[in-house]
Amino acid sequence: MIQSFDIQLEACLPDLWRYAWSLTRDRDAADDLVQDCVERALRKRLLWMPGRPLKPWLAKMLLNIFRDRWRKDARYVTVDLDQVGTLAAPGCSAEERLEVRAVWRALETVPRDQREALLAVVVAGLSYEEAAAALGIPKGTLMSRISRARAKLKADVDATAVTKIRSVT
Amino acid sequence: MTRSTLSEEMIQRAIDGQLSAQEQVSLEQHLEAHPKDAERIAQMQRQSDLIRSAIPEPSVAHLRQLRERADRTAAPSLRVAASAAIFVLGLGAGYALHSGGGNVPSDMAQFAQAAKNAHALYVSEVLHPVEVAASQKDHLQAWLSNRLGAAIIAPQLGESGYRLMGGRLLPSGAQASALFMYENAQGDRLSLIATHGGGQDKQSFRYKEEDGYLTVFWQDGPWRYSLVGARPRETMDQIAREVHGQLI
Repeated sequence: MIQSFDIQLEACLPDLWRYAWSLTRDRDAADDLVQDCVERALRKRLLWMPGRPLKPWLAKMLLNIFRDRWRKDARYVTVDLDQVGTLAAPGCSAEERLEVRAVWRALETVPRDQREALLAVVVAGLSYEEAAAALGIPKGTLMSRISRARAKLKADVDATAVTKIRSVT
Repeated sequence: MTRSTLSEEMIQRAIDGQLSAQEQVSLEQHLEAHPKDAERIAQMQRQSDLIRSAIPEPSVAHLRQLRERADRTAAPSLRVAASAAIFVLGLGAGYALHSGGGNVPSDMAQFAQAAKNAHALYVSEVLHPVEVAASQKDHLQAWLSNRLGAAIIAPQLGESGYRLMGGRLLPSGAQASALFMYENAQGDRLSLIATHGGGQDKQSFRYKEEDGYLTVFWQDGPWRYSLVGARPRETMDQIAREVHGQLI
């Protein structure tokens, strides 16, 4: 079924906002990014082909805005993990909180290109084809970035777990 | 068949739940024989869950606010156009009251009226009856769909002998509407006008005759349609049914 621009836009706003948050780690910054992205999409809606999925198109615009500001302008800074109040849902156990923090800490050490690829799939909920389109890279490149990002995460998290066990014993 | 090694791509797709049903079956067979691979996939899936669980969930109301703010900044000119249209509509309504009609026209009647006026205006154009000709049908449909904010196709009226000439964009109150014009071998022309707006109502065919034109209009959820032409009611009714059948 072909869904209209407005219906698709409404449907992908939550994922888009979450993707924006994962890049900036700040609610206000995510708000700004999403608002600017939607504004740009509304201005350019004539360029969107009906029948095509809207989400990758929006994710690409959001990423471009993010890159323009957060990489080129010193006023925009991705919030330090320690500044982010609680990193986990209120219902989480203390152990889960530690785990969440460890994964996000590890995510910081993953190269930027790989991180954006992983988050496009895991957080924005894009398929591989869509994420490749959003990032403007071939699908094979996307897959290898995701694979390397995951391997790095696992290695980092395993290393901290080992350290923890050693420090307990 | 159980493969002894999983490709890296297969592992990633397994983690992200992007396997086909058939691949899923062969994956499960493989994992039964290779618990280490199963553990690795489970660990990485858990990492994805942990990443997601840190991200706040925006409320629907909050996202709607963002969307509205973006709407306002994106289209200041549209808003001016909208208020101008409301002003004109207001004048129209006022005039209707003064002329003693007593019956303030409903949205639907206004839409049908505007459709008739548009057809009457463009039907006599020899050189420019449409903005985009039927030879560029794909472009026409894509363009109008974009402007209406919903996908629309130009129905085929083959059975009645009318063929698509092309279409144009029209204002409809504050919104956009699409006009498709058709012509038969005798040079007789019909217009189908469609607009996409609020509402979930369904209204069956209604008819209005004015200035020698018959307008058949109906509503199908968010879509409103008017078919305008100078043919007898039975013919118009039949064509409207043909259109309706293709648009639902």
